Amino acid sequence: MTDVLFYQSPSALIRRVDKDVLLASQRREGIDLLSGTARSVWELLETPRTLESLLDALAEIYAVEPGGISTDVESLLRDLEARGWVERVADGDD
Amino acid sequence: MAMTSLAVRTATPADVASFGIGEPRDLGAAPGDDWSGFLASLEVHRLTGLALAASNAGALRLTEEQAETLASNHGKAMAAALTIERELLEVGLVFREAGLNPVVLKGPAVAHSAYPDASWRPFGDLDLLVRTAEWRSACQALEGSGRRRRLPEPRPGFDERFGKAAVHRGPAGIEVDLHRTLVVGPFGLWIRPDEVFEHTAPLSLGGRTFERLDDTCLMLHACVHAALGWRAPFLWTVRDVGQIALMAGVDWGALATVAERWRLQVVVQHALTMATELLRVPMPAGAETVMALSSRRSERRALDAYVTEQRTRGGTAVSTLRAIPGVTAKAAYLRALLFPRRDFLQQRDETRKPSYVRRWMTAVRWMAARRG
Repeated sequence: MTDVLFYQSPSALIRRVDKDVLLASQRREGIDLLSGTARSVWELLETPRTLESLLDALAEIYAVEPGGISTDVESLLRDLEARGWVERVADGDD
Repeated sequence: MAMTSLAVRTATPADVASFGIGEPRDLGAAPGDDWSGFLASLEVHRLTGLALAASNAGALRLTEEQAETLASNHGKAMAAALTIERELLEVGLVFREAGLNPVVLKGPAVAHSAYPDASWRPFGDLDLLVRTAEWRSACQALEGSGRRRRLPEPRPGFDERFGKAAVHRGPAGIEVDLHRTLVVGPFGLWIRPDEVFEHTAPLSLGGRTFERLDDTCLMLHACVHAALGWRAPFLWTVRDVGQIALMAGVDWGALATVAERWRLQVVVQHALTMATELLRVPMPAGAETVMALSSRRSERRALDAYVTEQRTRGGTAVSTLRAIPGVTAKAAYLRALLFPRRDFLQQRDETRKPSYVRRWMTAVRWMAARRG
């Protein structure tokens, strides 16, 4: 996963409400609410990042070891991708 | 010994409407004795986003419970805004398939182009402007996609000659207000709707690009909406005027030129005065160019039909009649008002049997009130 860049899907419709982020899209019904770590991950992906870079940034924010959160973050990324809020591109692609 | 009284300032909705423009200031505390009334006002005037931002910035003091309720209610307002933006993406596809390229007006356009954070500006429907020549195709495209027109045309050809907009409602209940011009009544007739399309800029949303009014025309439309939309303006409309005037890239010289061409000088002047007074912020120096414009008596008289008691006595209809050029066109307008199609009457008031007499009596009551 380290050669892959993750970023916010440009098709997401976004609103920041206090400590949360609301997301909607034409592709799916309903609205998702991201809070806490999920919001942090989402915000960090405003600029494309590798998983490694994302883990480093989160580790700094939450004062933890990157290795200790990698499983949870990978799972969250998969979920955000499945819902269409995050997309990926191979590092170096145009 | 001198006593000092430490009174806590109570914030008003107008204070909240002024947050974030002009000099930073303390708005005070939300009223504890009428919190529910205050919150209801914030919702009616679509100020929950500004109130939350003011609270987070320490400019508006809320109790923990008040802040939680405000955030929760604002979350609902933002969910509604997102649903409307999703509708924009869908309607955009419908129009693209029909070969039409509408201009996005008001809510989403203003929220995403004039405010630092779109969540500061809630909105309740979707407003799209199409060219008069494309009006029928646009209505058909909406109907074909399951969005039903709420009220039929009063008489054939009324829409293109005198109409401002038609509300369409989709299966999800979201209203799409399809516009042909920017306002109902005389000013709507003086605006040259097809020229509006010369004043657009791109609006990116959900990975797609739409057209919106450019900052100068956005300002003009915000003034029209604030000054003419309701007799007593909603505070978000006044905030839009202040926001765009102070934060967007308005070309005041160009605004003066367009305002004169479309006979909107008094409207812009009225809106700028309201924004200065209600928000208590000075307008930019460039606004003087517009404030110095002269106007005709007919334009001042037309403004009165919107902003005074005349509005409740058929003022807009009377001033529209005055503004329509030519006897034949005046007669056509009058005929549509007095003898609309029966299905128009039926759908205008579904609770009662359609009645021409009742409609005519309204006109008689207007005339009696104007004379009295």
